[in-house]
Amino acid sequence: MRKNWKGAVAVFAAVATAIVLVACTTSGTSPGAGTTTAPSGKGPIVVGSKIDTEGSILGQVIIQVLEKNGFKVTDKTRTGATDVVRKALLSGQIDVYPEYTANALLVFNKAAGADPTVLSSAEKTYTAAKSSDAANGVVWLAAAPANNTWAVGLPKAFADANNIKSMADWAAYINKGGTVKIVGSQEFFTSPAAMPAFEKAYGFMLKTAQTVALATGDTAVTEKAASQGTDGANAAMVYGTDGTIAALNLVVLEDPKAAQPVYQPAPTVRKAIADKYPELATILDPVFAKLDLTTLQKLNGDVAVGGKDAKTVAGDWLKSAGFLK
Amino acid sequence: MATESRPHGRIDRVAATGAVLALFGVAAFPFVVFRANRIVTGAPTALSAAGLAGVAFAAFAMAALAAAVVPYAWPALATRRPLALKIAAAGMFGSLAWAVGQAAVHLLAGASDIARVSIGGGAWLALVGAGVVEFAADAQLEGGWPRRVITVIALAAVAGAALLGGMQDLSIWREYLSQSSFFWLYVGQHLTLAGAGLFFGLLIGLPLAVAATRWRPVRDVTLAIVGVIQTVPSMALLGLLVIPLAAVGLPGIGSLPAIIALTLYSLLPIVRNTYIGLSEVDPAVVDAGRGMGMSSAELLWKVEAPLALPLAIEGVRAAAVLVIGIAAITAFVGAGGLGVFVLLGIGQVADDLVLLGAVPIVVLALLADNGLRALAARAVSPGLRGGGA
Repeated sequence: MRKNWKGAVAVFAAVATAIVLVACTTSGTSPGAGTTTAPSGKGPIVVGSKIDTEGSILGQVIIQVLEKNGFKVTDKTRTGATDVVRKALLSGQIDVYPEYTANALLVFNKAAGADPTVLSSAEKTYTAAKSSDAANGVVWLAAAPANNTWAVGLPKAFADANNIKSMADWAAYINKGGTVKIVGSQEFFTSPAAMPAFEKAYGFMLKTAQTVALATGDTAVTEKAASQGTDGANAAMVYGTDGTIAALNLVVLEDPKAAQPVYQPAPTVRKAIADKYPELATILDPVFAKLDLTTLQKLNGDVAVGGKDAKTVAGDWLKSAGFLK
Repeated sequence: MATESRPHGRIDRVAATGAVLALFGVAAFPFVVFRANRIVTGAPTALSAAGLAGVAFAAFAMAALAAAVVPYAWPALATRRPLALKIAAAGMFGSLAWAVGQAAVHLLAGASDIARVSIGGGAWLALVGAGVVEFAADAQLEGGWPRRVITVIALAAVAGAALLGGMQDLSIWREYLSQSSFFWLYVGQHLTLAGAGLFFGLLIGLPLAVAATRWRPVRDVTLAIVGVIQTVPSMALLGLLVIPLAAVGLPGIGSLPAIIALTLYSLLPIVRNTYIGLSEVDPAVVDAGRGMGMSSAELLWKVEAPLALPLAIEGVRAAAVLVIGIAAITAFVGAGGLGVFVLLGIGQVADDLVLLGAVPIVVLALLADNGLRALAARAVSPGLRGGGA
């Protein structure tokens, strides 16, 4: 009896010691794949990302380009949702992650973002993001020329049957009393910059019964609902760079009045790191300059539809674009 | 060799239920689902897509049903039933693995590279049915070489089907391949988070339980608090932890809040079971120890603790299963772990990516459950086995 008791204590002590050792060596925010060594040993730079398709790809693009340029890089991509990854950057748990320009104005520095003429211009949004975030110790490198903004997607058959091509057509259809049920995130329907901005610009008003609001902003979910007609849905919130739109037989409505803010992805860097390695801009800016809308849609589609892994997709694109051999 | 735990001439209802469940599952639900790409809605496909392998599975399931029912009419055959069920269950497992692989191979022949075949509801029910038949067989069949040989043959058949039968064409395996550079890292993170939560739960919970048996106010307060913690939803707890952590300048994201939350959740089963174990020690035994001149510490270590150990380990088991499951949620706060696949999969409506996170979590929980059950069984002191106390 005593022997058994002591045996259990010994096993427990051994397991506990092992756990503490492992916990000590792996502490911190952690969804990463370890550190890779490069010959000249600059760094290490800790790269994070949002926990979604585009975040994973852009994170891997940053990692592979930095490694190519002699940096030691720690992969902590897929860190968490926007608030988590942003906190990780501000608290120094990560050094760089890709963020969208309009978020700097609409989420992080709300005071700076009130002006709609700024939000509808890619350049003004970027400049405002850069200057307003400087006070937070965050440096914005050059943004990709791709707008991952909110848009409305319709099943192609439905859009063709009702001859709807733009938001103006859709507004006319709604105002005529046409049947509508749109699936989107809570934020999409309530944020003044999103659906309310569409409603104001095109002169229509959705009733609550015509909307299905989800807690999260995953467009694969909204798009699939619209494409299947789940719960009578015939429209979906989509993002501009989604790679899933064509695969699900949806069409994106044009926004001729530019009612939506511009969301261009750009690497955001902690100031301490940006000051220490000023070459980060010269390394990453040309890469992001090549990530236009169709390129990002294709890369996102390769992951979300084709099921390839973000690392391979990023590496293949970097090679084809001539950044990696 | 095979002994009977049931009277002759009866239907084995458990085994019959398992066989019927498997047959009903593959008849009424899609066996596999074919998708033109990873996210479109799939075309449900019947067991017949698996060809010969599907026929084999149906045959083994019917054999199990026959073994369960036939002794009702011919009681003389009842003695053969346990072995027949064991063989039928092994055949069901092996042919099921072969059939899902074959269905994938047939459906993907000529399809595009990005087409996927996922395991359907029918195949999952068939798996559950085979498990029930296996359970019924094991309940009747005593240990010995036939049981071991058949188990080894079943494992070999499943492994062979997985390697050669085309299971590597299934969507969940493709998800694994595309995530393989992260998979084992996340498994390690998941175990570290759950293990650390359990470790600190024990570190805090065991002394609390001992204190609760010594002082009544401690007991009342402790049991109330750990009970209330359990009722707080895990997502809310992670969110609430940000505030006190920020107040002392610690990060509200990453492993730290995750481990704190898991520690808190592990407290209830650990404290409650250890407390009950200690308080149920026969006072006469404690008195006897005291009469031998033992100090309070000696009484605890030499008398109370060994007697309370099985129940305490039972609490650790419950806590382990709990924290392995809850650790999936901590991916929300950047702690990593297998929950990352679940979150990514939900975001991409990629069911097989969700499964790539969920299935290993279930496997880890089952391993912890069985391992700690075995430990609890061994921790019963020999003097207490066989129902003396």
